[in-house]
This record gives sequence, C-alpha cells and structure tokens, in this order.
Amino acid sequence: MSVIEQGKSVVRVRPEPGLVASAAEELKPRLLEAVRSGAVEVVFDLEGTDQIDSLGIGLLIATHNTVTPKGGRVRVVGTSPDVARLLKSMRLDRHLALEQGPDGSG
Amino acid sequence: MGSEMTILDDETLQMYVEESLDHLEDIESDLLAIEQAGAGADEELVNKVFRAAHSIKGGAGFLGLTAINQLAHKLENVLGLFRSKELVPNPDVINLLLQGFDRLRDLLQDVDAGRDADVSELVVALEGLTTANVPEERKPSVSERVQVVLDSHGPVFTVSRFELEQAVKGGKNLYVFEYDLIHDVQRRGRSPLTVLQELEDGGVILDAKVDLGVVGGLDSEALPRTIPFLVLYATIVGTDIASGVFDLPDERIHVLGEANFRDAPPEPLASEEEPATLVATPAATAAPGPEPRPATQEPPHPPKPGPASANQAAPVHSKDQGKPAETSIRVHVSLLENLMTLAGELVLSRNQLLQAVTSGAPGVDRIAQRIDLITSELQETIMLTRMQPVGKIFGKFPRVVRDLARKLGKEVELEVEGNEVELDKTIIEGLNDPLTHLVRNAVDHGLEPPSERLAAGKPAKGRVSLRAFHEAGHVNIEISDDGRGIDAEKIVAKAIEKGLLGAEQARAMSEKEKVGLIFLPGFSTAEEVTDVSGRGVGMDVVKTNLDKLGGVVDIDSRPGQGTTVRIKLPLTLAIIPSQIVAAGGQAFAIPQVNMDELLRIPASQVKERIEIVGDAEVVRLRDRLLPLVRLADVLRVSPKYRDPATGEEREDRRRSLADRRGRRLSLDDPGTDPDAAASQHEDRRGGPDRRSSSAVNIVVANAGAFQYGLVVDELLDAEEIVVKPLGRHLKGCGCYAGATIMGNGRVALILDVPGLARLAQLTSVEGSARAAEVKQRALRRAAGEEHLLLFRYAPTERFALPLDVVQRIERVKRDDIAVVGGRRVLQYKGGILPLLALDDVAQVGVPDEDAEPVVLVVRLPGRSAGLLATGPVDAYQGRIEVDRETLVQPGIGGSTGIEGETVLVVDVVDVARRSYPDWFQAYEAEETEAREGATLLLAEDSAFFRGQVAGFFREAGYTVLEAEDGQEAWEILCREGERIDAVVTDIEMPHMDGLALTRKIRADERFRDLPVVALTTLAEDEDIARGQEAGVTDYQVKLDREELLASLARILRTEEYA
Amino acid sequence: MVDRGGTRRFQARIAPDYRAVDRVVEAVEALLVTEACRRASFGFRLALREALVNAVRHGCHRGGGSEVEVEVTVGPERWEARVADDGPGFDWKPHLAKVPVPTVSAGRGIALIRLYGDEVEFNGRGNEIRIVCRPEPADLQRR
Repeated sequence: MSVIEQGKSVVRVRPEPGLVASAAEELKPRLLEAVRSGAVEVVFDLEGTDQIDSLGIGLLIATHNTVTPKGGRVRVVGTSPDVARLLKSMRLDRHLALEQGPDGSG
Repeated sequence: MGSEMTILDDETLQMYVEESLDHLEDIESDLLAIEQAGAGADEELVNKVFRAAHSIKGGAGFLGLTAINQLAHKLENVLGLFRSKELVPNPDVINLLLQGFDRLRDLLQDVDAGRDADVSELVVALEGLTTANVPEERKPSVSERVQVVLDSHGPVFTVSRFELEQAVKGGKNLYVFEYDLIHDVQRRGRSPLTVLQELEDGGVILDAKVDLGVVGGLDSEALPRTIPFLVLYATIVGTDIASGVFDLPDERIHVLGEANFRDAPPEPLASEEEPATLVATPAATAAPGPEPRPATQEPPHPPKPGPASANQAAPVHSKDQGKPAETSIRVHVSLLENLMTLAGELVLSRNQLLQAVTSGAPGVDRIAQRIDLITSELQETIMLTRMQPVGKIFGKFPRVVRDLARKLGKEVELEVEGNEVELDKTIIEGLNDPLTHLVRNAVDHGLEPPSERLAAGKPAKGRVSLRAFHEAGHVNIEISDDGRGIDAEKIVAKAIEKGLLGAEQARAMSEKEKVGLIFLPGFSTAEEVTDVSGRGVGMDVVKTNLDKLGGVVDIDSRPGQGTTVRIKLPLTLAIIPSQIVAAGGQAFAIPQVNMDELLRIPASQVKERIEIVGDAEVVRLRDRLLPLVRLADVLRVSPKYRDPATGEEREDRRRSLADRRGRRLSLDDPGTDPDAAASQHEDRRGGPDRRSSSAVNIVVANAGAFQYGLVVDELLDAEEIVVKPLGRHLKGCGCYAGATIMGNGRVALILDVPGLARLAQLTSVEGSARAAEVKQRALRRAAGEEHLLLFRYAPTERFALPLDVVQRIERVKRDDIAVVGGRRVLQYKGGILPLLALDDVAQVGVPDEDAEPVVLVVRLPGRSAGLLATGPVDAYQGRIEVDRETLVQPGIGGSTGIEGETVLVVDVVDVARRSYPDWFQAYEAEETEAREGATLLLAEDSAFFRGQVAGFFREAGYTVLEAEDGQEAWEILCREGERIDAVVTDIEMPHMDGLALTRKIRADERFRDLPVVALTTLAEDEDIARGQEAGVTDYQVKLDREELLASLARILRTEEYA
Repeated sequence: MVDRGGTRRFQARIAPDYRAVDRVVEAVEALLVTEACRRASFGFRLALREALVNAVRHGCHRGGGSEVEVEVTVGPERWEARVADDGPGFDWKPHLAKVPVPTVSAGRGIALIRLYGDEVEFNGRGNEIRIVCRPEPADLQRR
C-alpha cells in the first residue's frame, strides 16, 4: 500500500512498490482528495525504489496540473540516478522540482 | 505559473550552443558579402543567414533562453525583410545586424549569464528597423500579437501577426503539431531539438513548447500518459497529406483556421517592463504603445490556410538549407584524437606482434596477417574522418585583411575561392600560421599604398586573392596580389650579403630560383619583420611548416605586377595520388606532389637533349639543365626496356643514356612507336647504324627546393595509393618513403624523392639539402672565429680542417701505412685505421715520395678515420671568409685566404663518403656485444623509451645509468665521469636537451672525447647536421635496437684507439 | 524457475492486473540480483514493465483480451523478455520501421521500450513483443 502523509499544506507520498501503474491507479483518487482538502505542495518520495513506468509519470503530471493553478508545486525526492536521468530526458525537471537523495539533499 | 525552472539537460544545451555557434561562424562574412552586393544580394545567402537566426531562435525558445530567443527573433524579422525584398541591405542595417549577431554570440558563449541578459536596446533598434521598412499598412502588424487557440487545449501560442503573415506567404498552411515527449521523442539519440531541425527542413517553425497543462489533472478521468510537445508550424504541405508526410496521426495535427486566432496584447520586452523607450527609435513613428490595440471586434484576418492562394509556390525543399541532410553525426574532437592515438598504438603493437610471431604455431601467421590488414585499414579509415573544409581557416581572412588594410592606410579587396575544398585536419591546422603570414605579407609588403598605385597606373584598390582548388589529386592554395612584386636582384644581393650565396652561383640562377632564395633559412631576420606581419616569422619558417605537412611551396613574381605564392598539399597523409613507374622490372610509386611533369625524349632527340656535364648526365628542359638520376642505378637494379618488336623485357646495357643500346637488338618494326619510326627513318638516311626506340622516360621530380630528372624504364598509370609505412628492414635505405599495394594487387615501393637525390649525391645551386647549408654555415660561423688546422699534402697546396673534427695528429712512418684490399690503412695501436687521401677524390697535388706522412685522425659518424697529410701542421684561429664556390670540388668545401695564401677547406665527410660509400649506408648488424664492463649513460625523458632502450643495453651486457633529462645526465656525468664509456641521449628533453648536453660535454676537458650517440625518432639531414655541429658522434633511431647496439659497439671499439 | 547451465528462465500467465505486473517485475528483479548490474537491470525492468503495462492496458482492458503471458530468460550476457496478450494486437510496423516520430496513436508506447532495449520485435499481429538486452560488462558491478 502506498503511504500518504498529510501535513498542514504539504502531502508526502511514498508510492509502493514504486512510481508504477498499480500505485498510480491507487494513488490518484487519494491524492485528489488530499488536494481538495487543502494540500498545496505534493512531495513524491521515491527513496529506495527505482521502479517507474509511463503511468507513474502520468501521475506526476496530473498532480502537477492540479496543484499549480492553485499556486502549489510538485517535488520528487529521493530519486535514484537512473530515474533522475529518465525524468530529465523528458524535460520534467523544468516543471517539477527533482531532488536526488533523501529529503532533497542530493 | 511560478518561476520557470530551467534546469536543463546539459547535453542538449551544449549541443544547442555548439550548433548555434556553428551557424554564427560564417555569419560575419555572409553579412559582409550581402552588404557588398546590396540589392543584388544572393538569395541563397540571405536565406542562409535567415535560417541561422531562425534556428537559434527556435532552440532558445525551447530551452528557455529568453534573451537569445528575443534577439534572434528580431534579427530574423529583419532578415525576413531582406528575403521578401522589402528592405535593401545597406551598411547601416548590416552594421546593426552585425552588432546583433555579435551580441548573440556573446550570449551563447556564456549561456548562464546570457539567459537573463538585457538585450532591449538591440531589440528595440531592430524592431524599429523592421517597422520602418514595412509598408505602411502592415506596420502595426509588427507589434500586434495573435493568440493561437486550440479547441482541445485552449490558447497555446502567442505570436506576432507580422510573423504569421510572413510565415504563410506563398500559400503555406498553418498547423499545430502535437508530439508526446514520453512516447514519441524518447528514442535514443533524439531530442526535441532534433524534431525541430527536421521540421525546419520542410517549413517554418513559428514556435514550440512543452505543455503539461493540457493533459488534465487528478480530476480527469484517466491518468495522462503523454507529455505534449506542441509545434506551431507553417508549411506548404497540404492538409490532406500532412499526416503521412510528418508521420503524425490526424488527431495530433491541428489545422489552423480563422477560428483559431484571437487578439492578444503586445509583447513585453525581456526586461519585463513596459518600455517607454520604444518611442525613442528613429523611425518608430508607428511604435506601438503598451496598451492593447483597440480591439476590433471581429478576429483579425488570419492568413488563409489552404493551397488555394498559391501564387508564389515556394518549393518546400528550396536549396536554402543551412546544412545538408544529416548523413553525419557530431563527434567531439577529443574522441577522434583518442581514436587516432589508439590506432597508432595498435599499429605499434601490430608491428611488434609481427616481429614476435615466428612460424611455429600453425595458424598464428595467418591471424597475425589478418590483424595486420585490419589494423592498416582501421588506421586509414580513421584518417579519413579527419577531413575538414579549408574554409575553416579562410573564414577569418576577410576581417584580418579589412583590419590590416585600415591600419596601414591601404585599400584592399580580398577574393576568396574554394572554401569547400577539404584537407586533413592536421594539415588545416598546420596551414593556419603560414597562410596568415603569407596573407599579411601580401597586404603589408606586396601591395603599395593607394597613391603609389595610382602613380603606377593601377587602380587604387589592391587585390589579394586566396584560392584553394584541387589539381591532379592534391590541393593547391594560391595567395596572390597585384602589388609591387618581388625584385629578384634585391633578393640576390641580400643573399650574397648574408653569405648564403656566391656571386657566381647567382649568375647561373633563373629568375624563379632567385626569388626562391627567400625561402632560405637565415634569409629574413627578426628586425626586418614588421610587427604587422607578425612575430618574426620568416619565409623559411613558412616553408619549414609547409614541408612538415608534406607540401611544396613556390613563388612567382613579376616586379610591378604582383606576386603569387603557390602551395601544393597532399589531401591526406594517408592516400595520395601518385605516378607508377617501372625500373628493373619492378613498380614504384612517385607521389604526385613531388612530380612536376613527365618527359619522354624520343630517340631522335636523345643525343641532343641529354648531355654530360662533368661526370653527370643532365637533360635540357626548356631553359635549364636538370641533373639526371637513373632510378635503376640508385636502387641497384638492372634497368630494363621493352623491345618494341617482341614486347619482351630486356636488360638495358647502355652505360650512358646517350649511348645506343647494345647491338644484340633485333631490327625494329616501326610498329607502334612513331619515334622509332622517325629515328629509323633518320638512321636510314644517315647510315648503317640502327637504333631501336631508345626513347628515354624521365620524371621531372620536385624535391622542394630543386628539381631533377628521374630516369625510369617505363611510365605506367597514375593511381591513388594508400601509403603504408615501410617495414623496418627497408627504413634505413633512404630512398623509400613507404609502400603501397597497387590496383593490380602488387606491391610498389613509394619513392622518397628528396632521399633519392641525396643518395645520388645531387646538390643544387640554391642550397638543396639543408645539411649542406648548415654544414657550410658551420664552416663559416659569421660572428665568431674559426679554429682551423692547417696542413699540406702536396707542397704546393695548403689545406684546412676545422679543429673540432680532428681527434689527434699522428706522425707516422711510411712503413706503418699498408695497402689492404686496395685501400690504404694505418696500423695503429694494435688495430687498423682506414685512411683517406685527398688525391683519391680531388684534383690536388700528390705528396713528395719522401715526405713524412702525417695522419690526422678525424671523427666521422660512427667511426674514426685518418686523413693523410704532410707537415707542417699549424693551428690557426681567426675570422675567415670562405668562398664556397670557386675551387669547390669533391672533398673540398671551399677556399679562403689566410696570410696571403689560398687555403682549401677540406670537407672530410665528403672525402670519406666518396672513398668509402658503404660507411654511409645501412649495413648489417655487426657484433653487438658489449665490451666487458662498459657503462653507458642514458638520457631520455620518456619513461617508456628509457625503459626500452636501457633494456636493450642491459641485455647486451652493458651497465646503464639512467637520467631523465640533460640536466640530470650532466650531474650524473660529473659524479661518475670515470666509469662512463659513452652517452646515449634523446634530443628533445626538458631542462636541458640532448644537443645542449652534447655541447656541454664537448666543451668540458674531462669529457671532450666521450662518444655521444643521439637518439631520435627522425633522422632528417637537418637534425643530423645540427647534431654533428654540436659534436654528436652518431645519430640513431630510437628503438632500432640492432643499429643502436652495433653503433655503440663500433664506437666503443674505436675509442680504444683514443 | 528452470536453471539450465547458467541461464535462468521465468514463466507466468497473469490476469490483466497492475499488481500482477508488479509481482512479475519483482520476480525478474530477483533473477537479476545475482547478475548484480545496476544500470542494465533498471533498463530491462523498465522495458519489461512498459511491455506488461501495454499488454494489460491495451491488449486487455481496451482490447478485450483476458490474460497476459510473460517469459523471461536471463543468461550471462543476454536477457530476453517475451510478453504476449490475447488481445487484437496493433499495427506496429510503421513504428519500428520508419524513422521520424512515431506516436501514441495506437496507444502502445513503444518509445520507452526502444530506449532501453537493444532489440525489440513484434510478432505479425502485434500482440506479442520480444525485448532483448545485452548488458555491457561495464554495467556489471556489484551493488
């Protein structure tokens, strides 16, 4: 089960087993819910996983499109080097804040 | 939407910057050309510059480089006006464009700073220019903006109306293409930039962007699986076939119609402020204010899409592509360098492998052979990757000339031709300096100031032309000017003054040869080179540089009319065009660059044109005499000829070319040879003697500084050959530069044209082999004093020898001199010293019978010998002038006057060479064992070579002390001097090089006689001469193990006499 | 899993379900662990996952197929994945054959797979894909 932690205005997500189709399906309604209840910033924590597919990426984008009109943003932290490279090659680093390493210390 | 995050993919950015800078390379000269041509400017050229701005703009937009995008945009607009002939290029506009592009270049070179730089001034000026030159009714459109709206996505682009209208001229259609970054553009090696480039070939990209916003959010039904990449595109391709042409499904191609356009507010500038300064531009009377135009209620007329209004149907693929279709890829230069190095290493290893492979293990030979073949091919292929257009270096000259001319107050027009001619990269790089020097020379020294020109009846504007073209398989570069030309007599006078030439010699020279004296080393000195022409580079350096590239250079000059410098270069160092010839039944290749012409002297003219001068054969070629060298002789093969009757190959037994061929010839059929027929005819008239077709085939060979005729048996085809290095067993010959496999599969050796000349002992008037000059210079030493040993042979003549060549003087008894095998030798310290006698080689008097012989033990390369003399032997120290022309003969290098008497200066190396030619050729390895306890000092900075060479020596039984450079070697020498028997040193080393070390050794009492062997990777005459001058005992090629050991063994044996 | 002298094989049939896809990829990852190659493993798993997601989404959910078959063979220098669904397939030829940009039109996102796979092949009908990766020795490093 993916984990969602809701703070005051920040939502932290840990998709399991990774940013993949199964997690995306599951997380979509939950994230929508969180955003509707006031979340402005969404942090996807990918620490410890390098699983990813196009639906997972789609989730990132959908989230981005939902929060940015409200002045929010999406962060992706803890990316492995391979995942970071893939996202950069899609120019997603222009729209999302990508941070390698835990808690954006990369 | 928050601040744009512009963390960019480094690779893409770098690629974009590199390509943009590439576009900008030619822009300057292109704009200058457009300026020159004005209204008649070449359309292709204008298009080219337009596209450059356009593609820079496109990528910048995509990468978020706002300032660059804006600036390129405005530049593009102005260029668009050129294209549509709404604006005629004039100096003011061009200046502004130049400024704009210069700024663009700056911004690109420092991209990070460039991102947010302030370009408002230029932008405003350019926009003002655009507005000013657009027809009245269209002026507003320059600043009016239009929104492009898609049903599915909402407003996606905002562009200026003016641009839209320009873009659809010619009946183009407007589309928005929708690509997907996840799925479409993710292929390996592709990026959005590549897509843009491909589209550009087929139309006009107005804008492009990544649009996340269109795929919906968490509240959409499905999760997005795409990252849309939208392109606003104008192309003539019709709506019905667009899908097929651009390979996008129909639902991803949005055809734009009236409904898709709406008004939008005018754009803010890069500085994000509403510019009040807009009004300040000169012609901006129609400058748009910051408010949106009063909105006309109906949407403005969008350009009509659809092929209907195709009045000027511009072809989709017009010739104005900036680059040809991509059949190439960009590779970083360092990668190519690595490839080259690796190939070189592979070649070395391959060589070692071949050596090490002994026929034993079955199949290993074949494998080694295959590796050999592959390695060679690989090396050749890699060399081909290095071809570059010569325009790379030509490109800077227009500006150089412009600036120089202005500085000197001259008017110059530069014509450049042949930018696309390609050459190997190293050659191109090596050309840079010499060409710069030559061009500056032409402007500085060649062209006269306008007043002088007018007075001479020439136009005030001087002309310099730079041409590159292919000819006979190599590349020619010509630099010519129509200036004052070179005064041959002045050159000659200067040469004589500097002692490079004797007056007599000068008289015998042709105009061309006289002018060619400019290339002699030492001709121009630093003081004479003005700062404008550069750092004290003389023409001799130009020549040396060009020699290194395998090129030959030549000057042609007409006083008062101008000068042309012609450079001939090989295309690559790997493949050269050549002429195949046959001698002794074997085929040889002569590189075209060394060949001036082919001469076939029909039998009937042989007697007339081939003459004997002294003991040499020469041929008359138009106005001069060319010394002849018979290839078969030099190579020691027996010359053959084809019997015209039977077609058989037979030995040509003529001793002299001018002789008739031997009598055993059959009667000829006039057959195929008209010359034979002619000569026959003549003979019959003349008498009973017959000749067969004794036509003589001569290749007029060019060894750079001089020409000679190479007589061959047959002239065969011209072929492009791949140069392969010689096997080590042939390298020492001096007559071959390489080998190749011809088209028919057979091996041909490539002749080393200068080398052959040396072997044949040709010298020339203007100082051929550098060694000769340097030797002579050493003989003279203008500034200092000479130390000479004076002696006699016959009582009537006095001779001199440079003191440092003489090791000792021995008074011997006549009985000590023996004749062994026809040669005179001296029994000397338990061994035998070969003797040289002046009268063996020169026309000099013979000593009296009872004169007591004196033997001058002299130092020669690799050995000692004794020169016979008689007393009294005196030492002389003083300044002398050597006349190197009168009284010169074999063995005698010149003459001088000392105390009222004529003294002949002996060239002892020459004497030795004539008496014992074998001493100077490649010989078999003699015993290479070390003397017991012999110790060597090895100075070599490369650890690799040092290891190798020390290894050889130790294996052979020597003790070796190692030093990393000259300085260290000297220190070791000082410490251990006693035990060191010989020094082996590299030439190029840091701190103190080999020659400096040698000089130091020679200058020191303790080590005066210590043998020094210099190691080199080359053995050019010049190097050898310099080495001899420094006092080197012998020159050896690195890693030629046997030679090295043999040489040392010899030297050390010789030293036993000392 | 069948071991055949250095080559390991994994086969399964799954329902068109994303969680099942996870389990397959997990199992394959276990296979690859002993190969201990980071970069190559990432790429292979990504390509495999995309292929599976495609099969589930397009072959089954949209296409009406009912199950997905997968077979993975892991050898010392060659990894192969074969994924097939019993859906209608699609016209893959234009996407593999042509050079310019293929699109999502048929929905099968080929590009990611092609990015990471050394060889990619479809059967005629287009409902079976075969992906081969050849990991470079340089990519093989202990995790």
